[in-house]
Amino acid sequence: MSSEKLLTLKTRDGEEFVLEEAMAFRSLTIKNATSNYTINNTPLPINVEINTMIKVIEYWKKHSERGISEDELMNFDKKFFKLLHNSELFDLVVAVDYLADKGLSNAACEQVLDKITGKTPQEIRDIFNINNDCTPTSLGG
Amino acid sequence: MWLKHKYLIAENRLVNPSKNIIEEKIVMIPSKNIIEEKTVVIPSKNIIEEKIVVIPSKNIIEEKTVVNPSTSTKKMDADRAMKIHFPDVIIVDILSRLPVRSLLRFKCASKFWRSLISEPYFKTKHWNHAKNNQNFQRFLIGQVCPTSHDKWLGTMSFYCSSVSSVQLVDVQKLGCPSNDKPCGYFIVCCGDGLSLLRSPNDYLLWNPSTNESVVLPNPESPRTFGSAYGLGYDTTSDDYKILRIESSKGYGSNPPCKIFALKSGSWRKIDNHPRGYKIDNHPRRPYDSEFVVNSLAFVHGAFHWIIKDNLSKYFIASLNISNEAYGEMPLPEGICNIYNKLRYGVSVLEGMLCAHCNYRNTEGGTFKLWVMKDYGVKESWTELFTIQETQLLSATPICRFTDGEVLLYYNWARYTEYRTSKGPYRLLPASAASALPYRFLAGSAFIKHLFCYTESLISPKLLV
Repeated sequence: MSSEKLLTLKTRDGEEFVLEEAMAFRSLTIKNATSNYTINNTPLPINVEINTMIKVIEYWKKHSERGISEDELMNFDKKFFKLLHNSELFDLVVAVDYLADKGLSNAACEQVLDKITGKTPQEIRDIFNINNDCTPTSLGG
Repeated sequence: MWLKHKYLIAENRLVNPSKNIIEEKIVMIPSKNIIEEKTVVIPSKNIIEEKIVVIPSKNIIEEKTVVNPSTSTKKMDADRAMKIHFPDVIIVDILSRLPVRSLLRFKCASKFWRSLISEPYFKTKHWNHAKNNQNFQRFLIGQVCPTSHDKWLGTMSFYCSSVSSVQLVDVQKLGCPSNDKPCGYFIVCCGDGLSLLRSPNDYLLWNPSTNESVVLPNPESPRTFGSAYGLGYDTTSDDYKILRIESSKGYGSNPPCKIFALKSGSWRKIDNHPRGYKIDNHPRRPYDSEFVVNSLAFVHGAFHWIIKDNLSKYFIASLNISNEAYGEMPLPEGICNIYNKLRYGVSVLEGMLCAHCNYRNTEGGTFKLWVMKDYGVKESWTELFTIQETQLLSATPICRFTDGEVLLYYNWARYTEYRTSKGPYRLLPASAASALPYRFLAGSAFIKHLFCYTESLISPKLLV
C-alpha cells in the first residue's frame, strides 16, 4: 500500500487526515482542486466536517473493495444508511453534493426520498423543520 | 487510510472511564493503522447510548450526542436540522424524483415549497426525470357504466393505477376533468405526460396526475367516428402538437389531416401522405364504435400509422412532429402476404415501434407481433411472438411490462378481455370489490380504455 499515492485533506473543523488519492478522486471536487495545489503535503482544505467525512470514507472504502459482489454492496448500503439518523443523513447529502460524487449522491438522495415519500405535510415539516406558513385560503391554489 | 490523532485508545475498552460507559461500538484510533470501524469517543459528560463521534485531538467532547431515535429524538433531530443549511438546489433535486401524488401533498408544507413545486423550471426538471423512469408509468383506465352501455353519451369514470404485470394495483379514482355529471368524455390518446379527451362537443387536454385540464377548440370539419389521433411534445418548437387523421368513411381515399399546435390556438389542414391513405380500425361490435382505440404511434419524434397505396401494398407512414414532413417505412417481411381478411396496426412498446397483424382462417385467429429494434432499419424487424386461438377475432397490444410480458386487448368471438401470456390480466385488486370506496367493476367489458401514460406536473392551461 505504500506505493499508493496519498493525499492529505483538512476538514472544516480543522481535522487532518490522509487518504489514498484514487479513493479521494471519487470526489470530483477534490480531484479538480488537486490540479491547483502543490504536492508538498500541504493539506487540501475541504468544506466538510470530520464526522461526515468519516462516513463518506467508510462508504468509499467499501465501494472500492475488489471482488465484492453486487449483493454484498447492496447489503452494505442498506445497513450503512439504516444506521444514519435524519440529521446525519442530511449532513451527508449536503457534504456529498459539495464533494460531487454522483454515485453516493444518488444513493443518499434516494434515502431521503424513501424517508419523505408518503409522508403527510406535517411530518415533512418535522423532518425539515419548516414553519407552517400556509393559510387555509392560500392552499386553495 | 489513517487518522492523525493524539489519543490512543486500547481496543474495546475505555482508557479513561472516569465517568461513563460507552455501551456500543468502541473503536481504536491507532497511530498508524487503518480504521476498521466507526470512530467513537471518550465522553466526559453524558451517557452515550449509541455511536458518538469526537475529535480527540482537540480534547473536547462536542455536544453531538446522537440518541436512539425511538426515544424522543424528534426534538433533537429538529434542533439539529435547524443548524443544517439545506441548499435549495438539493431540495429541488430530491423533490424532482418524487411521485406527483407526494408533491401535490407537499405543496402545503410551506409557502416556499409550494412556490418551488409550482415553478415551471421544477416541473420541467421533474418531467425530464419521469419520462425515462419506469416507476412513473401509470395506467389510465376508462370505465363505462353499464346502464348507458348503448348510448353515445356513455357515462365514463376514470381511474389510474400502477403498472404491474400481474394485475392492476394501487387503483385510484380520478375526478372527471370537466366536473360534468355525467362525464361525457372519452380518452382519445395519451402522450408525453398528458392525455386528450373528447366529447361530442369539444376536446379536452388533461393531466390525469394533477387533474388540470383545458378546453381545446373544435376543428372545422365535422368529426367522424374512427378518427385517429396522436399527441406529442415537439422539442424544436417547445410545444405540444395533436395530429388528427379522419376516417376514410365519407372521404374516399383522402381523409383530411389536421394539426393543432397548442401555442397556435387553432387547427390547420396539412397535406395527406403522398403515397397512400390510412386504413381504418373497424370495430367488431357496433356499440364499441366510439371506444375503438385509434391512437397514432408516437415515437422518435414522429407519428406512425398504416397506409395502403394504390397497388394495395401496405406500409408504415410517418409524420415528423417538428418539420411535419412525411416519411415511410416498410412493414416486416412475412406480414403482408398472407390472407385477405388481414388487419395491421402499429404501436409503441417500451419506446420501440412495433407492428402487428391479425388474420383469420378456418382454423381460427392468429396474431403476430414484431418489434423494430433499430428505428428505421428494415432488417431490424424481429418477430416477438405469435398467438393462435380458435375463438380469437383480433388482438391489440397495449403495453410491455419490465419483465417482458406484453399486455394485449383480446377480441374474442363472444367477449373482450385483457391478457398477457400468463393468462387473464386481473383488473380488480385481490381485495373484494365491496371493500373499495368506489364502484370499480371487475369485468373488462366495462373497461373501455386502458392507456399507458407518464406521471407529470405539466400544466395544460399554461401550454395554450
